[in-house]
Amino acid sequence: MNVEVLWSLGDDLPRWGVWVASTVGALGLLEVIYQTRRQRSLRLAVLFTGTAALLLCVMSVLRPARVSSRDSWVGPHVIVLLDQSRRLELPDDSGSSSRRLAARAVLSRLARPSGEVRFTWLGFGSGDPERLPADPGEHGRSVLSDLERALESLGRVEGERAQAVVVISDGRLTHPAGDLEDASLRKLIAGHGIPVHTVRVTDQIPRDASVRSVLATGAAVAHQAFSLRIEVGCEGLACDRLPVHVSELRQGLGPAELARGVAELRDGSATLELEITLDRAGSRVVEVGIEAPPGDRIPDNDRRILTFDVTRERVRLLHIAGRPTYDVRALRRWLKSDQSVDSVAFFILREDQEYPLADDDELALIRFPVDELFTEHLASFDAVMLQDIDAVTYRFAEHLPRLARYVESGGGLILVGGPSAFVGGGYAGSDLERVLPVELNPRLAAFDPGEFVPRVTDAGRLTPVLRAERALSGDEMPVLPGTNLLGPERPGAVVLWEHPRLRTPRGPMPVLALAEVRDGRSIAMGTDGTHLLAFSEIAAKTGGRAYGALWDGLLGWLMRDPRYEGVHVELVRECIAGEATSLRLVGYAQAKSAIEVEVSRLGVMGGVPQHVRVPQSGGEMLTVPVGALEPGGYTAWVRLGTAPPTRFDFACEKAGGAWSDSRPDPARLRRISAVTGGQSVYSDRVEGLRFPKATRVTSERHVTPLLPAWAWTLSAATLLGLHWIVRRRAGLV
Amino acid sequence: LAEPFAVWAGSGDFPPLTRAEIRRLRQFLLLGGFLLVDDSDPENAGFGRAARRELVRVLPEVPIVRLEPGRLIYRTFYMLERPVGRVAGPPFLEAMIRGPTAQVVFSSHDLLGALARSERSDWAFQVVPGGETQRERAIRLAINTAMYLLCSDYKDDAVHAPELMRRRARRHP
Repeated sequence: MNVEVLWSLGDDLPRWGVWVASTVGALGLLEVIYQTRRQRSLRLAVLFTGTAALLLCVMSVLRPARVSSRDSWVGPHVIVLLDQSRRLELPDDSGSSSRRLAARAVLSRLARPSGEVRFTWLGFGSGDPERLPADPGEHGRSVLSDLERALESLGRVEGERAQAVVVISDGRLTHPAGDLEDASLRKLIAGHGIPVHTVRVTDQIPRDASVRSVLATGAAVAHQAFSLRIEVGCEGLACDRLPVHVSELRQGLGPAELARGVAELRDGSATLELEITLDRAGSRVVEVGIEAPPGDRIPDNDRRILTFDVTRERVRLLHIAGRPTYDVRALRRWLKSDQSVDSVAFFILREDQEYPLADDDELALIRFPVDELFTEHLASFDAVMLQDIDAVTYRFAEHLPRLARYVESGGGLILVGGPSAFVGGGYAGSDLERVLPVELNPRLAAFDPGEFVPRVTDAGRLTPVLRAERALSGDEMPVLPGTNLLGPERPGAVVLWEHPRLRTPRGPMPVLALAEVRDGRSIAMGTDGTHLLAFSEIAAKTGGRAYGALWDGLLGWLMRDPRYEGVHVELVRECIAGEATSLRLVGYAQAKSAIEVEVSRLGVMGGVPQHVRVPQSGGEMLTVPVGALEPGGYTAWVRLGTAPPTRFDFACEKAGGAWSDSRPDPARLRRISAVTGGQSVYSDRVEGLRFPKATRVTSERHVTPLLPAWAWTLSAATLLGLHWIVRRRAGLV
Repeated sequence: LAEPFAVWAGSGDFPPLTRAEIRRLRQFLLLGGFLLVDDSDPENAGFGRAARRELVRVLPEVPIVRLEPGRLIYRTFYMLERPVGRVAGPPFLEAMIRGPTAQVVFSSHDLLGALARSERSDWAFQVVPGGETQRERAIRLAINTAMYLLCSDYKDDAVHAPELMRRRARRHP
């Protein structure tokens, strides 16, 4: 704090007043001198009184005052923007430390008391810059480095503006892009008139091969091929050719290779297009990897694990019925009425041994292309519906293992009852039995013709699968004409309808049950009487709409339509390997029991799932921590009491796109500084940054008049009078 | 509403249906029921006319149209050139079509007469003018009608088209 004393004139005196007073005073003085030179007596008295009178007149106008003030010097406001990208976890120039530690060292050096500069410490990443967390361990959680947005945000801040910005980064920014012309770069970031100094934490490119980017050209639609544009890079290693593979990560199975190619690198990079087809809709986790040469220092970026949200134009359904029945008719009519379903149907209208009383040209029947369907075309269907068909008689028992694998790898399966379904169709003990929701006992009779009214289980009341049907029918169900004799439900399966009288060793016999089977789903409908929901006295009360509502729910659940899932599951934030991951559950309020979450890794066989049990809290939204995960694809099963579980697939990467390109970009930082009038320095030269000078700020000011205004006026009047007397005595007028 | 399939057969004119009967029959059809109307006395045609009159009252919004040869009902199991029953009748059936398929089919051929058996299990009526060959065609039409009911428009699916076109070409080179 400094104290300074100055002189001033009257506060209310305009500048022109000073000039007028001074001019008039000077003219008066000239006149007094002139008169004095002409006069022989009393010359000194005239001169003295005249001069004093004029001086006092001028002073009475100017009214001089003494001003004392207290001042302080305020240093320039400088904002430090630290790159919060996870990319700064990559090695620095020393190779033994990280770019993050180098950046922290810069912060420490800047923070040393320099006396003048006032720093604000912010971090930038994907959004507006935020204050740096006090805990350095919390630094660097962003995938992006959007400096453009950060600077734009600073320009919008009200109040004291920064006089300079210091950016600490490796230069591999998301925005502004590195290939911008200077003019464009200046337009983007130099519009605020603030110099941007940049501090480079590394200048050296590490020896690294990586998958730099993966772009899907076109939407991912089930059964339709689309291209992945894959950019790979390699620096400091012997890699003219890099093998690239694309695989889908599935549950309980090894990765399924979708495409493979070789990238021919030129100037350290190459772009490869690989075409892949994902046959299943919903979230699918895909791994894109390279085979890096020896010496690769950053193996974590040799693969990207990405989640594709695969859409479906229409549900492609293979509908095979063993004989024409009313149940087949109802299902056929419903499938054909639904524009979102593309069904390919085969109804067995006669057996081979039957004599049709006609030769082939007189028949409208075609051969059932069983081998072709179950070998060439099976993967092209989203779901298969087998309705009351004998697998042995119609020679597709040999294809049941393939059909089971189809379900395990993501397909949907519905077995609809009738005398030739389940045990009656030769499915007991087959490979297909393992993917059904129920066990089958070949020693039991195939079918019980006794009429019954199915009983809805607690799970059936809870699940959205039956919600629409129950909203129409309520608890009233038609009398069904008979049921297949089924065994108990398999572990993890969910029974929605059960038989009121028939039992299995473990409880009431299931009539309608659902199961998750690795990546696929299956439904067992142990009756051929659901058509009575479309046509019966009970059906008349709902206009037959309950039938469509039932099958809408079943097919929707089979196809993972979110409307039929018990809960919506999402990641709270992007999953980063090694860091705590949480899932957010939305819409679970109706569950009364605890919530169980099971997380298992995709693409591995025999993995041990991780279980989390959360008590019901009664809210609409719940966050469930699932711990720190290794890099990979994961599936989370969320179970609400007895209701069918909800599946959610997600990818977890070490640092995602942040590590995909490990090269620093010091040239970009230099250009940013150049276009904004700042300096670009390496991290060990940070003291060389020049900031604006400090500004003086006055905090206290006292004004004390030399004499009061009346004293000046009185003195001037007195001396003017005295001067007038002296002039009279001297003979002047 | 016990079954979604009903056959309405008879001969001669009959009095108009009551409102309750109309309402019930309309409910049957709107729920998806299938009705085969068979005139047992097609030479007189009184029943057929009366049934058409009443069904227009049941489904006033649905017109009665001809099912000419080549329509789906003639190729749901057997490939048929035309409909026949106990009598040859007109070379077409008639129908009221709601949705993809017909819900009411009118036969003026006494189809059930061609299928009827006596107490001794032999054929109850002679088939004219084609004799047993015509009866065989009538049986095929009955089977086709049953398949039409149960399988709906299954034979219109694209998977059947190439093979059926080849067969048609072989029969009519």
